[in-house]
Amino acid sequence: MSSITAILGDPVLMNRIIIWVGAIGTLAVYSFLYRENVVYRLVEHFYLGLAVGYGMFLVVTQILLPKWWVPMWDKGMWWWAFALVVGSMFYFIYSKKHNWISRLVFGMIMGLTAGSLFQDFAGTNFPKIAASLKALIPHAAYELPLTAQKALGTATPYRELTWAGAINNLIFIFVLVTVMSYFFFSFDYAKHRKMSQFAQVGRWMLMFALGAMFGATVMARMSLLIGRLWFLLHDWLRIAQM
Amino acid sequence: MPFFERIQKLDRRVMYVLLALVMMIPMLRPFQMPTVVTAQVQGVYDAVEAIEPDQIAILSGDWGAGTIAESMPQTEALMRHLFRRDIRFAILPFAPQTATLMQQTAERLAKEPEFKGKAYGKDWVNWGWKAVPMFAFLKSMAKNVPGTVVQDYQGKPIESFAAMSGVKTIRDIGFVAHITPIGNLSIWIAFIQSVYRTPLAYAPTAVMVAQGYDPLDAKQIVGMLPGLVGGAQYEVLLKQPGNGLRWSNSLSFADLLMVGLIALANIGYFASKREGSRKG
Repeated sequence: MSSITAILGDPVLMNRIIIWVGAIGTLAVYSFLYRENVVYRLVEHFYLGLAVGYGMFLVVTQILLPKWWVPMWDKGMWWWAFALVVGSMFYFIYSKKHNWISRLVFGMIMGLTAGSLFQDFAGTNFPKIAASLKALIPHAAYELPLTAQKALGTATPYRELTWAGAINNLIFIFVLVTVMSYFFFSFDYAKHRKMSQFAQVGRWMLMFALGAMFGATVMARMSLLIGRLWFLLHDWLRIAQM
Repeated sequence: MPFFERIQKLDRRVMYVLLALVMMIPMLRPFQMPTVVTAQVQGVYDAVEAIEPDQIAILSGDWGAGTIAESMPQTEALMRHLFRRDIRFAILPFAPQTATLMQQTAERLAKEPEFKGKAYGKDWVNWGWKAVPMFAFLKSMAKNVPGTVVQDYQGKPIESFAAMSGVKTIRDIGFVAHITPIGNLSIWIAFIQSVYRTPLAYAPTAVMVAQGYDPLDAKQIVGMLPGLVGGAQYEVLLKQPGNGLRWSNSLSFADLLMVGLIALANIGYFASKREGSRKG
């Protein structure tokens, strides 16, 4: 017992133990790359158990106790007891006779979410639509007339658009229009050959974008491996130095 | 079996070992590969340079140990820049692990000789993980920072920290960087940037980079640190090589190996096809 207390009280030793557990866990998970095996399965189950336990611990210590129990019990905010009533209403979903009760809270949550999503959509996408209307003719820098400044709410002068910038904008508009035409289903493409060819170009543009996105995904996965390799070489084996 | 046929039937486990070995080289023998700083990374750097001395910056995030190789160099580079400029910053974690990992990063940097005197509470403050919907927190915080944050990650009143003096609303916040492996940048854009025009930077993992280009084009974000490479480029701007540059070398090696293997496999495929048609 005393030796366990000594280990727990020694931060350096505890740190080494934690690193060893991490290293064994990492190697056990990567052993799956060789083939499916018992060690991998065992560590997978440990991980799932830990994740569920950690999640429950967080819910109790970070939400239920400080946000609900302590204000209600210790600080006299008795009205927090209604949260239990509202929360319990969700469980009426399992009752055939009374499941309308659960719909009340589900409806409230859906309304809240829909309201916030509308602002999310408008705030995120409307400026993108405006930004898609790009100038195609090169021009020098200029300031807007005062009336236009007032209408747009900005006094920022328009920056110079060079030939290179105009070509860039042209490429942007071309890709935008061709890709949008690919998703325009009101045409009978068999009858409109030109339109069909245009949409095909849009499809190719999409393929380029998807290829780039896939490349980025591969890079992200490699980065995950880098994180674990660094942990093994630097923290565990101590053969890589900062 | 001819060489090209053998290449096509190469065991995937051999490739895994090759990949791991190749990626270890820059970790064991560090060296500097040329790194070009892109406009999007420069945009973030310039936005940090433009923060007024009396303003505070927010480093928001929801990353965990899983994406440490990408999110940590980004966080470290941004914190280093803010420390150098003597700009106070707040850590705003939207996941429990983030609160700990970002705090550890700040504490580690504060121990460096360059940042002697930097201390928690004076130069940075950790608002702690808030178990509330992100949009609700941001909407409320914009109008009343101390009333929304209330306490730091250790439960101390937020207004007791020198780093929070004069910080009342979003107008006192000069810069926000969102460091994230998930696609929730739109919440920052919709509820803060589009309403208050607060300079917003995006530091995603590489897999989420595609989501950043249209807000970048629409000037909804001032710049972007794309994954590990973004962190490495920021280190170049700071003239302080760190893990970002070292690990991006590993990434370049892995990419080279993969491109090489794909090319070899394709050459093998066409060579064996030609051989097959010649034999008849």
